Amino acid sequence: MDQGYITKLQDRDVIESRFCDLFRDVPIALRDEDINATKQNNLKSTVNRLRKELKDKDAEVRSLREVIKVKNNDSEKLNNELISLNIENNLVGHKYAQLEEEHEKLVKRWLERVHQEFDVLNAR
Amino acid sequence: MDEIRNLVWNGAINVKLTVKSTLLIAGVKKERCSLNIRIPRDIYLPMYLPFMKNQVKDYLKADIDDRELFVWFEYENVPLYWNYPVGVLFDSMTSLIPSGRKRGDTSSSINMWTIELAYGPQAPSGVLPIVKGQEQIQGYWMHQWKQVCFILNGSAKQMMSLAMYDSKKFWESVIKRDRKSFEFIATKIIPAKPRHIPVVIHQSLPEMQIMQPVISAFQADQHEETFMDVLTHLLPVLFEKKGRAPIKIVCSGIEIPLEAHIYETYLRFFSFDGFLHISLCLLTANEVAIEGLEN
Repeated sequence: MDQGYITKLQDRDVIESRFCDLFRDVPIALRDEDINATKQNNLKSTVNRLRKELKDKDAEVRSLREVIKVKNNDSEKLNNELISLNIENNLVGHKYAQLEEEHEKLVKRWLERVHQEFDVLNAR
Repeated sequence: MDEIRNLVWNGAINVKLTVKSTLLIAGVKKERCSLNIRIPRDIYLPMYLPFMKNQVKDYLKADIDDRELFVWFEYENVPLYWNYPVGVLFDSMTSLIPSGRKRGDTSSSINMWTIELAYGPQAPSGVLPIVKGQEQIQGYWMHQWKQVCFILNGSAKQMMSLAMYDSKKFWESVIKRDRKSFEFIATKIIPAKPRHIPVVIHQSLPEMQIMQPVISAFQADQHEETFMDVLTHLLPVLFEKKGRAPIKIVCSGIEIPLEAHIYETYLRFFSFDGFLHISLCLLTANEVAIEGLEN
């Protein structure tokens, strides 16, 4: 029976090892130093990645600060404009009230005059 | 017997490892991160994980070294139980019928197993999460040997009383693929007259099943137990009909006759974790007819 097993195992190896040169023989990298080296490499690459990310974020923060500054200036300008327009509005309102008063006076004077002329005509 | 042990120990398969396309960074082609490696049949798959991770991590969406992510392997979208030897997974998951494979084999055909690397926040049900790498694998493997020792001897004393140096050497022999050192320590644990035999039966079709029956080396009438005896008891439905049972048992990529004595087979084919792993292949009516013609 053993000879049968040997033949079968050899046949298996022929089938399973065909074109095996296309497949890498990787040593089991499980020795502690290998794992540590892999971990170290991983850590190094992570630190580098994080550093790059930090640099990008810093640049982003700088540009956002500038945007905030510009927006603040815009807001200040708008406030000033709002105040000046308010003042202008007040002045215009005042002038409007004066003109309205004058208009009323003129209408009153005109009515009195028309009334007087009407009385004179009636007296004749 | 030594030649068989040597062939069993040195058996290896061609494995093509890819990564699930949904886990790759957009725009990265799947072929770009596929690895062709040759893996011994008698080893755990995650022992190559550090190498695999290193090769593919740049193409993955997530940081695979993240402690909150679990990594596992899949074959045709079915998660692989890494805690069994690679060869056993290959035989059972591909439902290997060696004679059928040999019939279809030509000098230009390539035998390759394509598996996928997967990761996620939760390991699939039944898959042991790998959280401590080598340390965990070593611990699991030692535990398997304690079980084996208990099944064979009725106590784990032989295993527990191994010197620290021997324990370390035992594990190193697996990593360094040093069969002599491995066999030297294994023979200290395996007795000449065992109480029971550590056997694991894998069945992937029609449903995935892993059985670990209690098998005595000898029957009550002092006859050595055969696979036929065990399987008739374990799967009586398959042996109801007269004639050849529609089943094949495969171990280390070859067919083992149903009439083979289990302990003799164990001594020749036991795996690096101390168990004898066999895969059951249910044959279709067509395959039974072909096999019948050949025999």
